[in-house]
Amino acid sequence: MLALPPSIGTLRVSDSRHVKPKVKPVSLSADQVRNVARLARLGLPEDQIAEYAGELSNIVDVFAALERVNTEAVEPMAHPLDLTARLRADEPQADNQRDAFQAIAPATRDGVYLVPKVIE
Amino acid sequence: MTDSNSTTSRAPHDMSLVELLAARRTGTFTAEAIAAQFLDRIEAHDPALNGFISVCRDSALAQARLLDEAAAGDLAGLPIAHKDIFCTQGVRTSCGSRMLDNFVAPYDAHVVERLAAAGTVMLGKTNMDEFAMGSSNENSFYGPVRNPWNADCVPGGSSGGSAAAVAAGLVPAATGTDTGGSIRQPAAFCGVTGIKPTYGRVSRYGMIAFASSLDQGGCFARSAEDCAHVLQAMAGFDARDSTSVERDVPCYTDGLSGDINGLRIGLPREYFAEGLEDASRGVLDTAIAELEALGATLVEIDLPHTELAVSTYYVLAPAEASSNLARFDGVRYGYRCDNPVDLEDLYTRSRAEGFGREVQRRIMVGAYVLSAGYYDAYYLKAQKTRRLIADDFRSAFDNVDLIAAPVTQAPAFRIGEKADDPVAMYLNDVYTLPASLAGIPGMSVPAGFVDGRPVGLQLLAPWFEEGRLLNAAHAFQQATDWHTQRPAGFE
Amino acid sequence: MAIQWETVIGLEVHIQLATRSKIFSSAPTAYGAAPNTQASAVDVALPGVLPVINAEVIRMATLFGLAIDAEIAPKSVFARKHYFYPDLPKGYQISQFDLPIVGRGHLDIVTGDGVEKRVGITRAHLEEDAGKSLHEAFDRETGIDLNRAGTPLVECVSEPEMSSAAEAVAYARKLHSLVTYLGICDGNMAEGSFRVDANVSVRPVGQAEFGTRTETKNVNSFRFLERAIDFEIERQIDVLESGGTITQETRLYDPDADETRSMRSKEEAHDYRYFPDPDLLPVMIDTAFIQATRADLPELPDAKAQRFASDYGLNVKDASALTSSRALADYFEATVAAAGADKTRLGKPAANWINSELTGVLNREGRAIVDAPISAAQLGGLLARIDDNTISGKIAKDVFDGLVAGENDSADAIIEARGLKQITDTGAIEAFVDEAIANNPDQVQQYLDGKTKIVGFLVGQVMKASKGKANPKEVNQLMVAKLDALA
Repeated sequence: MLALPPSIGTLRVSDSRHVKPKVKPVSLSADQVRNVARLARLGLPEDQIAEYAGELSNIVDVFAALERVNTEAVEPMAHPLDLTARLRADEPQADNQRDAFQAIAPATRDGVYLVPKVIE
Repeated sequence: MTDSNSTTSRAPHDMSLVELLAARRTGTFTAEAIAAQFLDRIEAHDPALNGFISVCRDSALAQARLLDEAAAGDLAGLPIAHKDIFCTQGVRTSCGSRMLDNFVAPYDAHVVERLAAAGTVMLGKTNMDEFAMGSSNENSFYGPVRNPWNADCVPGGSSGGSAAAVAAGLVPAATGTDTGGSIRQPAAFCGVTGIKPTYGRVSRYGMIAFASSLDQGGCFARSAEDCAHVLQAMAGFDARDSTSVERDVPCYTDGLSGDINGLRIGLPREYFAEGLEDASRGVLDTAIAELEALGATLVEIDLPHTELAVSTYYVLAPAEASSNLARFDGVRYGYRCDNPVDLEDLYTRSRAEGFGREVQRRIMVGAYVLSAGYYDAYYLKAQKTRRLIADDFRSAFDNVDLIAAPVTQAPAFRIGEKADDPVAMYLNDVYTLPASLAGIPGMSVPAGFVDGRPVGLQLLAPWFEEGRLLNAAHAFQQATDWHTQRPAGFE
Repeated sequence: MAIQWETVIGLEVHIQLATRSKIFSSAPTAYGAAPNTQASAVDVALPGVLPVINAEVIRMATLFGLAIDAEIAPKSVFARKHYFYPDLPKGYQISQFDLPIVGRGHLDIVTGDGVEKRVGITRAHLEEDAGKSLHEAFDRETGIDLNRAGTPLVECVSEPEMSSAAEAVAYARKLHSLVTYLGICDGNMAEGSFRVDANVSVRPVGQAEFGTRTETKNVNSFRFLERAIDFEIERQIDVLESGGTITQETRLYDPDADETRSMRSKEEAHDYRYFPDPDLLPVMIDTAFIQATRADLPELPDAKAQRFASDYGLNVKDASALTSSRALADYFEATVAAAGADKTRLGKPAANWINSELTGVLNREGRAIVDAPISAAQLGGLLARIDDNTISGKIAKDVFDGLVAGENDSADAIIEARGLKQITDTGAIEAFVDEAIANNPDQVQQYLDGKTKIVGFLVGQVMKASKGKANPKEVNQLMVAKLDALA
């Protein structure tokens, strides 16, 4: 594993105003990995959990840089352009493409998609 | 050696886009002959490169024949390849993933529709890092792509196939997408010209989503002028994409005066610091001096929050990706595991088997930063640092018209060199990520070589100033010939 | 000493908006189409598709917010709510989280025993509906129909301020009436246009903290809502009184067994990982839009009921019944207008005919007022003929039945065709009266002997002889006068 340099990449920190004390590395536990894998419905084999935990921990450690800057007065930016929603007229398009869409589906019958039985 | 006024002695793959279009118009070559020649080159050379996932020989020739009967569109007869992230109706659209290996798209992406309407002939779909996640095209279900300049090296990613195909002369132009550098970086590694437009300039409808607030469609070609033509056809408002901007597209091709006298070009201190390899730096210094010789004024600028770009990007992009990839569940299309026992098994196995390792890593990182208790510290925080990075550019552009910078710290690395270390791979993207976060347009133009591997010069412009960008690149290419070089064996 | 328990109820109501196309796609929203024939590329969540917001959804949500006296957010944001379920094709639902379109409002209700109460509404936000899972149709599989996926919903969340099933039902009914009044929802609960989730908890009287609550989902009738809540209250009290604890969980009401059951599949706590949808931009609503939308607000149920009471001389009960739906209220007003100019005189009769005769027909035939077999114009025409004494109330019932059966186009046509015109001519009536007096000397004598009530029998004879067409009042007056003259 490549050791992380103390600052991000090897770019120098140009403004000392932003420097805060270094933060301890985050370590994701095996349980945390199982949890996110579960959230994402990824069936990770047990024997890979530790490896993933290491990889994910290294990645999350990169995020420590974010803590070094004060963003109290900063508005979050969801989109680069700060635009607002464009609305569409309420005009229905009756364009039934069921056949085309279901031709590429793994399992259908009588026009419905099939999954293993779900018990509610 | 070549007389630019006569095309009769040259093969289509040696011509510029403008020359190629003229050759078809004047009857020097039919569209079918042009398509056939490029298809033959693909057949001959692509096995060594692995740049193509699908080649559409029959449909391409059929399309070309139709154009020979009734030519229509500004790019009538121009062969093109689409990154396999763009939905193409009736043709496999795999996104470089086993998850979509069996996905034949039932519709065309907006970009595909536009380029078809412009008369282009689609030769095939190019290889890419799976779901656009990667900087080397080593993360593809279909195997790595090789750099035409050095077969042991990566072409860059995620649009590695498109860049390699254009560099090797297998197609005169190809589409790509750039979320954190996936057009600019492979363009630099492969010695071709690539452009990532302003966010919202090109419709994302039909462009399989990786990170919605960062993804942009763009193109590769062998010159800025060629790119201008292709971008002209791609750009413009699409009502089906809510983030598509309702703003007129200027005539990029008309704006290529080649004159950059008085243009103020900013050089960000943070990009020319330690980290940039000396040899590449030398190439770039020469290139920038050339810009100055052409009349530009060079100005040192600061982009103080550059150091936050990697962490900002690698919080936001995986978060959006984890969400966008939730639809791949084995239910309505794509890969489904064999004999699922129950619904949970269907999901967990289809996704674990369908997605490659890097994709699974990013999905998990994304789920993690969005999960309860971490959202404020990571996702919300990264949205704020994103604004700081964008504001850096806003301030800089108060004083300069363009920014010149490296694309990467070093030229193309060897296949396998960084494959085991995701973080090292991510750190490669330091110079390209900020522009993606800010949504500004950027280009990579060939600027020289180090040990036979191309080095790219990055040019960045303010939002919606693609014209200024293309013109500066064009001016540079009028005065240099890096962009005309061909890798050995692909002449 | 037995614990006194009190109930705390909050309702979350999913209101399907009656737009013609879906909230984020242009597919039609019409109910009852063959499976997956109204599921566009966007609804199927194909790779590469993107959402675009339906303007009518924003207008309808704003209308709703104004009607419940709530703040309309000048900026609202759509957020992704993540979970995996086969009827949720994207693996997330586009909803609203931090910045919903409608803020705090309220609904004023009247419970069965006439008590008025103001129930707070926490917020209302926009979201898309999921598709449908068909568990019964196949042996070992579940079928997924995505026609409903993407239908616009307003989710209206009440404060936990209701304390009985009756109050909850009153709230739900009032909300139902409101959204149908506004024309933003067709109110068809059987088709799922209006679905209620009930959050129920109990606690000892005097305790400040809430008890653990359960959520009973997707109740689609007022009767079931009442039963489900009552069952839950009883169940929870039973559990707590026998020393157990309430599990916070989701439950379903089973109408056949009349009980609520725990929903196995929803037991685990969800981490929905909400974040603003990056494919959509914030929705901005300015004061001009709000003002324009406010101008579109129709007269709301309470105001209409008050106006009916004062303008038409109705009591509160009748006015309430008539304004329970906008269609019914409109029918009433059209009826009175067709009957004549005097609202105060014609109001009460119209109310009676509609609330009893017409409602009886509608209930019997399972029809809604919009499909009434007798139009407001027809009914009004009938009332006019009662009012001007052309026919008696009794005959009018026959004419009514005739109109309902489609016998003829108007009351006048039936009256003419069947010769039902009331006899008012004094001379004619006098002849009938004389005849009755002549034919019934015993009864006449009884009257003269003091049994004045026998006049009813004699009047009845006149009615029989005149085939019901004589004006009963006039007959009575004339009969009494003639009998008295004999004295």
